[in-house]
Amino acid sequence: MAKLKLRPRAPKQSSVTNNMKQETRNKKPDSLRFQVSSLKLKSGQVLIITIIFLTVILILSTSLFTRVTSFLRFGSNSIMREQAVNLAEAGIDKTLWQLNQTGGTYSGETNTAVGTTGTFTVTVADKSPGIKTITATGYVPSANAPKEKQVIKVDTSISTSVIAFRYAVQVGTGGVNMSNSASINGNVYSNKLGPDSILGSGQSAINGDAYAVGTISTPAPTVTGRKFQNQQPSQMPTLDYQQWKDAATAGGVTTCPGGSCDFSGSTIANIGPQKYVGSFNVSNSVILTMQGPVYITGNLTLSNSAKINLDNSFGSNGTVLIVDGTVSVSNNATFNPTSANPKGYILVVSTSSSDSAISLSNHGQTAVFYALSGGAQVSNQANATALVANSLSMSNQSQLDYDSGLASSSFSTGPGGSWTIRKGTYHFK
Amino acid sequence: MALNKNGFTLVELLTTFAIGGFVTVIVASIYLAHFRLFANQNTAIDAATQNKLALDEITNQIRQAQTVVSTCSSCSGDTTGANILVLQLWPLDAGGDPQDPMGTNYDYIEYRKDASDATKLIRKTFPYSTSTRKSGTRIVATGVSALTFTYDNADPTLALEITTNVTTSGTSNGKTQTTAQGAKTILRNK
Repeated sequence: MAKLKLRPRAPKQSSVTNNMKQETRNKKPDSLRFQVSSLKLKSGQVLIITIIFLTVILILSTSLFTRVTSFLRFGSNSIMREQAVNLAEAGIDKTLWQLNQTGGTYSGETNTAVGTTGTFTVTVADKSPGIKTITATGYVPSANAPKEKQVIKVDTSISTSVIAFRYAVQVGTGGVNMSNSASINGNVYSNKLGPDSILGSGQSAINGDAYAVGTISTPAPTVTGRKFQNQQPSQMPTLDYQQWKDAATAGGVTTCPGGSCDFSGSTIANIGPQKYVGSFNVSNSVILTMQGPVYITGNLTLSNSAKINLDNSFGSNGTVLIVDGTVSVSNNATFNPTSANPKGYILVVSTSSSDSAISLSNHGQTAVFYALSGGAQVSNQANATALVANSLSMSNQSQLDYDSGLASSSFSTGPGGSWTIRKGTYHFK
Repeated sequence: MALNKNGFTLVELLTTFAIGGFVTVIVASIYLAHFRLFANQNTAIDAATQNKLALDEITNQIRQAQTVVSTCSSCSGDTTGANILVLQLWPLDAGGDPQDPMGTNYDYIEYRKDASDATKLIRKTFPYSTSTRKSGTRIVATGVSALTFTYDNADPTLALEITTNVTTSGTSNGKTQTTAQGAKTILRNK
């Protein structure tokens, strides 16, 4: 610390030399003079003080700058993280769309760019029948050099019953009886024990393999594939009747006036999900579009070019038309599948145990018919896609054309039965 | 350079002191202003950071939640409302993936302000016994002055979308820095 020293006043001098006078003129009075020898700042001290001062300011500034920078980086990372989440979500949304477009065959994609923000990669893995796990990864700005990455995993399921129709015709203990020029384009399995498990006559033919718990008659039917006789009984496709009845009933109940719901003329209407109490008669040029399962407590009669179409919104899924009585389809009346590939079919079910639980005749029908307890009668160029019944009788150029897609066909309760997120499984990894 | 060994006059000294004092005052005021700025910015950044942390945490969990529930058996009577949120989630398996709750075996997460220190936003986790989700209470953010939840349905348990608003603040040099942010989140599992 510099000290100021007050120098004592010097005695007055009356005589001085010229030089001294000159000196005296140049000097201030002693009383106003201070000794500041120790106060004098040496050269460079101001610079040092300035540097110290600036250093303190600089440290504070740097500290604040660092803090601001890290906060900005935090904010930037937060934004990019959010972008990555959104990219991954885009991947999941696209995957769901693709699964519904392709009937569940989509397996994912890699590094799909979404604008210039980033990319997503999606993988789809089978978890169990009807359930797939989607893993979507969002990268910002790219998968090669990501600044941010988010992985979202979610299970997706289809609210459908997967029913395997592995054969064009699969019958129970009643066996198959083919006559005239009846033909089956696909494989046949008969669970009838004993002789003539599959009985043919006339020009009847099976254009595929024939399996029988018992024997297969010769020469008819002609079997273009292989014959398997004395086989073990085959498990019939199962269907939960009550589930479908409940699904239809959930859409409402219509009590048919006079016990009969009749559609005729040129009626165009949507049906389902709905329960109809009574019989259901559709004739002439009526076009009904199924938008959900239908449950009919009486009989179903479809005739004269009437159509029951499955709404295209079902995509590759089918739905069920379940009837407690018998099903009769004739004269170019048709059930039509969706236009998707693979097609979604209407599964026409009769819970009746009558031998004619299902009767098909005179052209038409493109559907899957199911009468586990009853019999099916197919005649006069009738046409079906697949058939499961306790017994089958085919005659007069009737034909069954199997669609291989039915080996693992899905039947849903409505268009909402498409692949959707399985609630509860969405999570970040 | 020759030194003036005879010292300064009083005028020189006073002038020097005046100038020195003036410079010191200027420098000190700049320093203090800077220091105050630093402190204020620091507080503002803290408030904003805590706010963002809170919002990120809550929105992520809402996304993963199956539903909002009014309360849970372990929630000590806390019920979902404008200031408390109780979420129901699927329990986690050993791999950290959600597993089917098999009825009612869910995990629950609750967000609220700490009852003993209302400036803290806490998360209480109540996992099912077999779930691998970590249980306990965690401080999500500090300096929270307001936390509100708004639901898109009058009955929060039917809500599909939740708006979360968080206000955080901090005081420095008698000046309060406040950050208020909101986020709207969809329950993806509902």
